[in-house]
Amino acid sequence: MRTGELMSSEVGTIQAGASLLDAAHAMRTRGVHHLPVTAEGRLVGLLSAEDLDAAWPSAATTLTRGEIHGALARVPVEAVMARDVVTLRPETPILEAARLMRDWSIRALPVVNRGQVVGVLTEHDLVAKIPALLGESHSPGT
Amino acid sequence: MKIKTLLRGDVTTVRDDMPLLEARDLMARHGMRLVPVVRGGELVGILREAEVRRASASTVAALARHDWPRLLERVSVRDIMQPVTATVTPESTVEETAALMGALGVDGLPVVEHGAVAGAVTTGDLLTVLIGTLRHRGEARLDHILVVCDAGYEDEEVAAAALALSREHGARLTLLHPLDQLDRLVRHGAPAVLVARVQEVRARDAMARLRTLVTPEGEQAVDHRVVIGDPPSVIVRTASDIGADLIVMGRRSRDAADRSYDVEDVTGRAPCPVLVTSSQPRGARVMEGLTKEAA
Repeated sequence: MRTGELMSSEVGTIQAGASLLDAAHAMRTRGVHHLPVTAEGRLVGLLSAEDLDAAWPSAATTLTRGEIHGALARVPVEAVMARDVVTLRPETPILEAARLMRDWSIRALPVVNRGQVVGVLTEHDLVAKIPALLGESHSPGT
Repeated sequence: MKIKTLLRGDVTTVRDDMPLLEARDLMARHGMRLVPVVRGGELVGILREAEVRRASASTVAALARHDWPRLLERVSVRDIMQPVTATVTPESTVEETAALMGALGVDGLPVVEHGAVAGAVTTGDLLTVLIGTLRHRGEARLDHILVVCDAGYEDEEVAAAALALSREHGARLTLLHPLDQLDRLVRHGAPAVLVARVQEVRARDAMARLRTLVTPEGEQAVDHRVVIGDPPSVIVRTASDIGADLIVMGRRSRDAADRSYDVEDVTGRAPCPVLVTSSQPRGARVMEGLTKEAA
């Protein structure tokens, strides 16, 4: 099975200059936890919900909710995103994708085809396939 | 497969009155993404990395400026833990657990047995199971091919066959040239230093040759090894070391002393299947050509 068969293709990307507030909104409305970040059409990073969580003021902040949103609106995505992004191709076997996630302790990998981001494969996408893959008997040439 | 095979012996939990910062350090030390929260030995909640991160000081200086560190020290696990939505038992299957996590949209669940916490299982744990299963199912087909190149002109055919396979399967290649130990020379009284020098030269030449055999393309991964020892043993040991899924060698493998060793010396002990490429010796082809013309 290949990455292209499991990945989510409608994830969409976010600009490096967009704010953390925009990013939080994008993740919420699209129902995703990871956003590939682009600048001038190129993939420059990956923003995860974890990065947003880490950027969020602590439980002991003196900021009000409104102030928090205002502050997040002034922080660009590129300030907190992961820059050294491991990517997949749609043809990458899912076993390799799974190994990459485990070895690098990352939960999402952007899928790139001819320089364009075409989707994201997440740990969840792989785990969701477990019932199908473990349950069925082995069929060669799948 | 049951969840119990994933559980490590020690069960780590935190009390709901534990300071957040202490719980955070504990999770970091044990590399845990989530930890069951107990009160009086009873499961009362789940503490996840996500909430811990959110509650911790911001990574952005402009926001961290407004944090009140003293107050953060007073935040306890109870203040940020999540309620328990579902649990699994050690007897639950991996498939059921994966389906449940997917349906709930969570990345971990506590494991309980007879009312007591037996551990936690995360999507990371399930990912490891998936990797193991895919490997055994042959989804990956071939991951790593060991190619034995010590037979002179046949090496090119052996290498070509291995390269074709590796491209088809996305496997990495290790080209191996086993060099015998030249113990004959030593037995006949050659000084050890001289023999060592000779081996160095042979090894260098062998390595240089190996590098010319396969031209890697794109992300093709190719390693080269020259190992001194009894050739069949070297081959079998190397295959084991690198976890090879397949050995490719010529039928007429031989060491530099032109002492043939049998393919059976390898196939009998190999930790994986052996693909033997056979080719006509060039001499035979030439003879055929001559015979036809004469007729």
